[in-house]
Amino acid sequence: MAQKSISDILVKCADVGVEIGNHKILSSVSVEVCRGDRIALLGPSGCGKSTLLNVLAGLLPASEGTLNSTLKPGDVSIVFQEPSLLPWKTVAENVQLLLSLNSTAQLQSDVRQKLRDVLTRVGLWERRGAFPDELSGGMKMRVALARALLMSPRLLLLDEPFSALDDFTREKLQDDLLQLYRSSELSYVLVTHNMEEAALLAERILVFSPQGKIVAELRVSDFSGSESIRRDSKEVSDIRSAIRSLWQATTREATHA
Amino acid sequence: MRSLLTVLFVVVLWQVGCQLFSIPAWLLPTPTSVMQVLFSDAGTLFKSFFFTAKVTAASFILALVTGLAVGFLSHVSRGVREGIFPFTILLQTTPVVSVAPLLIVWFRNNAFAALVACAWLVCVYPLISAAYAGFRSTDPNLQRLFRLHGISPWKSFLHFEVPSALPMILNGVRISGGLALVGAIGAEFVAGTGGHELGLAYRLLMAAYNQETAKLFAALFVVSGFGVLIHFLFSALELWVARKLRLGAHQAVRDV
Repeated sequence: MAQKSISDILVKCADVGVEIGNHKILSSVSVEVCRGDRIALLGPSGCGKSTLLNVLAGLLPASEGTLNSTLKPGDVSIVFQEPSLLPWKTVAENVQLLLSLNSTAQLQSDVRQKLRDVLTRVGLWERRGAFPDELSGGMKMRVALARALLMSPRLLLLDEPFSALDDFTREKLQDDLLQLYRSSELSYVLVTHNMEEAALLAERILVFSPQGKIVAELRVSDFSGSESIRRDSKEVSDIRSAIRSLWQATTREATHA
Repeated sequence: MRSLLTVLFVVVLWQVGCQLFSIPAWLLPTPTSVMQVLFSDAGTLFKSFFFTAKVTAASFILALVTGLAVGFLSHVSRGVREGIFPFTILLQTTPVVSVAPLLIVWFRNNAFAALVACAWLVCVYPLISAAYAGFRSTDPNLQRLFRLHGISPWKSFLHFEVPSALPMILNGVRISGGLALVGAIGAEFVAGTGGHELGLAYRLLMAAYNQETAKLFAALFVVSGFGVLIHFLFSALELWVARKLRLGAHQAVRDV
């Protein structure tokens, strides 16, 4: 794994806490996201993973701690659990929606080529004229991914994007994401509650406690072979076991406390 | 088609029943005698229809503007939402006939304005409610995405919030359109028309007072026909927009 320098840092938060009403959602969370990072935020529902994603995106202010970001508006894009497409727009119109609404005329000129590249990368160029209700769940999610990629983000935030999909589609999209990562200068932070998904897609896994704290950071070695081989590998299985043991210890501690 | 056949069957049954059981015309006139009145009184009925239609249209347009504005402001501002809450409860729970005398006092020199105000009270609430629910139901993820990419609130409103809210708003428009007519007729029953122009409610009252039941049915036929026309016009608009926006709501509209 290559050494990261200070100039590689995209966003860094130190001792960040988030309180909404009287409810503490995040507590003393420190994360550094660098160029080329693949990070998974892993934990059960309601532990503050998506809240941290919103803080990193600048959509939610932290109640405490510091947040330093080198990212400018447009450098971050996000993909949600639901594809969140506009049903009255075609695949192509949905993908270029953000760009067409906030760019200048100069930017508009190269949109077509960019659109073709992105839609080809996600395998939807042939379906560019289709409407969302004519697509499968996996295709819709790929449209959402293409919409985010068209903005050429330096950091892609993925908020449980595959959790509502069936196993076959999910595995295909996980493979697609890794291929996209390898073929471009993408950095991403993935929110997931699936241990195998975290082990497969991330090089750093941050495990959350139910109280909104990071209880462990696991490093995963880089893997250049095919994703299907990796999925069944002993390494993924070992990481899953390590997370499970860690999780059991954390919940035991929380029960005794 | 099945609905039309049912209506035709009821009319035939009504005609045959009246003749078979020799029901007196003052109690239940035959459909043919009602048709005769419709033709012979076409001029006066059209004038009355025109007056009632004016009150209905004016109150509906007023309700459309105010209802959408209040519904949208309630969506964007918690202060407005909480501020207008007691008034929306009052609008739902107070019978309009009890407010009519007050409106007559306020608009004593303008009977038309009093009628419009009465009808507005009846039909504004569904529009407030539909606009609020419509804007509230927009996808929060897309709002976050637009904010993240620095898209202006105005562009977000125009390109995303309005089209997303439109099916619910049009549902409210359909309900409110029918209620505007109910309000216009109810208001004229209570407030009258100030003796200048005579609406359909006046025709209904006079026919009942004179026991001219065929005339009463003829006026009723015009009122019902107008109500049905409003319903179908707005249903067609709702269906067209839902299809255009591919929101799947057209199925729900067709099922109504």
